[in-house]
Amino acid sequence: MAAPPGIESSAMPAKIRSVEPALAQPDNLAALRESEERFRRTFELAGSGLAHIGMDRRFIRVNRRLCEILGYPEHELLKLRGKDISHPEDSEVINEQRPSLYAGEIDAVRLEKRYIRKNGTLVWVYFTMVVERDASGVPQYEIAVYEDITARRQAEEALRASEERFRRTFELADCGLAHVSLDGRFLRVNRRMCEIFGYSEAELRNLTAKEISHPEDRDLADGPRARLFAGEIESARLDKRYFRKDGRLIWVNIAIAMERDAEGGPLYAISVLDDITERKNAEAALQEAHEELKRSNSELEQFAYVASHDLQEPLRMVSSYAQLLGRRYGDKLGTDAREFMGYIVDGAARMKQLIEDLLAYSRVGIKTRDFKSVELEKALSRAVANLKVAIDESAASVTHDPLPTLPADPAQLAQVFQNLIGNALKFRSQSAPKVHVGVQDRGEVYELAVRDNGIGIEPQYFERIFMVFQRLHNKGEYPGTGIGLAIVKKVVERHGGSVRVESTPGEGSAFSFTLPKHQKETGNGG
Amino acid sequence: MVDENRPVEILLVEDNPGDERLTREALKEGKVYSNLHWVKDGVEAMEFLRRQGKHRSVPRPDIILLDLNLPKRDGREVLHDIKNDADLKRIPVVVLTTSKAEEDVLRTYNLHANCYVTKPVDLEKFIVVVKSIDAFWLTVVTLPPNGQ
Repeated sequence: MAAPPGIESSAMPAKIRSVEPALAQPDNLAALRESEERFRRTFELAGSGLAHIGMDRRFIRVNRRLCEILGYPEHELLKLRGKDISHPEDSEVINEQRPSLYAGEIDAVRLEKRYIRKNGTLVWVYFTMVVERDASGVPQYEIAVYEDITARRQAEEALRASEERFRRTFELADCGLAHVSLDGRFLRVNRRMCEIFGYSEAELRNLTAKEISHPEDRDLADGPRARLFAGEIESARLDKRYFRKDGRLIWVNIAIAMERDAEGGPLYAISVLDDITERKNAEAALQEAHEELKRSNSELEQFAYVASHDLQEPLRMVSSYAQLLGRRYGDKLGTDAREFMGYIVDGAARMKQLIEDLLAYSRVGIKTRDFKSVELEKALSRAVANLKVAIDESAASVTHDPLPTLPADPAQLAQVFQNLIGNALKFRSQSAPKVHVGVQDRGEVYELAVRDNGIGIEPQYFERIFMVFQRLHNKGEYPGTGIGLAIVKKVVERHGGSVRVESTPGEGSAFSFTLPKHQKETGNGG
Repeated sequence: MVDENRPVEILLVEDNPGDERLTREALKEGKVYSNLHWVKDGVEAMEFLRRQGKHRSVPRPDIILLDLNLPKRDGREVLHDIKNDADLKRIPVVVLTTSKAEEDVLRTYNLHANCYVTKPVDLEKFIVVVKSIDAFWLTVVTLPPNGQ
């Protein structure tokens, strides 16, 4: 304290002036210390990051929480400016607002910004800053509050990403998607939805589903929708017709579900729509073709029936009068005339047989489906009785396994046995015919087989023999019209079974056919 | 009782002259002692049976041979009329069909015909059929008349 008084006195008084009163008043000093201590403790204990920032933008004072938030120890932080540790994109956001703050246009800077912590991780902060001024209004320092909002920002980001994913899914989906309000307006529609209906998104949002529905289908969704509202069902699915903007009719398959609030009250409907116009058209075309086929088939059968019926009339005239001629005037005719007449009668007889067979074939389909429980043994005996003459003439033996009872047309099954056994007798070898009717249980069906020891059939004819009027032999060798097996096939197929042949030429043939044990309710009626 | 020595009165309802002649010839060949009366359609058949118009003095037929495909009123309707007429229903009706198929179809109508015969292509067979009609007739006439 030996400094020249002149200098001392000139340098010191200002400082002394400010300090001396406090020093001079111990009570005030203690109060100030206590206030400072209270402030320090408050500053340290605050849950938010707090800082005093000097006019050079450096941190003057920071609290522990701010050190935690920014990830720097206090002594390092005090050497830095906020700008130094800001995320590059956010380094100027505070400076942009400082002029307004200093000009008094705003009371505080409030913003969200990012900092890079010492360990390189990013922290989101809600930043609030005011400026402290002295009595004359000169800015002294800034007070800043930092709230770590990283968790909130991440949640928001996750939500945004999720919404983006959802939006992309919604947009990319190849089916129409729509949120429909409870009063039927489109709240949100995707790109595909716009494509299906030919309206823009804005246009659709001004429309209701009913407005673009086909009049007949307008209220189709009302029932399911009411049940969805009521919570009776989780989702509904229906096919419905709409009109596109261009007026074209489209078929749409819709799946509807209800979006609900936390209390379960309906918010809006979620509709997933598929344009099924092509499928519906194909179905309709198929149905039409099917109907057409049925109609033409039935017409063909009617035609065969009527034609063969009407063909018989003139045939009977030809044949009967030729015979009458022979009977009355035979002795007056020469040998040639009698031979010629023989051909007329023979030709007419053969034509008669052809017509009868054709008629029998067409009748298999035309006959009313009248299936009853049939004992196959009875059907077989009926066939054997009808073939008695041929069996006796050829000294044939016809044996059989015990046969089951199943639903069938009795007359038609007897016909099947008769045709197959008749063939076995007709196409016999040198030795006496041995015919055996066997049966095998094949689960849903019985497989019956008529085996013979006849001349057999070459494998290349296995398909052909079941076609109408297909014959393998000339009429001189084996008479017949070539329709017997075609009838067998038609009858078996009408019963829901199938027929096939196995044969070794020179050894014999086995004709197998299946018959269902039970007939379906909706069979192919005749 | 019916006199067995008088000819069988046969009413043939048939529109085809060829068939009429054939029936006539078959009766001749089969040596069936008969009178064949021929009408060409269903309307005339009923007039004959009810002895109306030009058929005022015809005999009551002992048997009717009825073709089904007739003009005006077809065989099915004629059969129905006969079987619903108290006076006519006892006359035996033989329905002539062209094919076995037709016969099967007809049976399902339950028309109460006494007999169905498929017209054969073979003359010999037709003669057999005609003879069997004769036999059928004799069987009928030897039975005591119903309720008389």
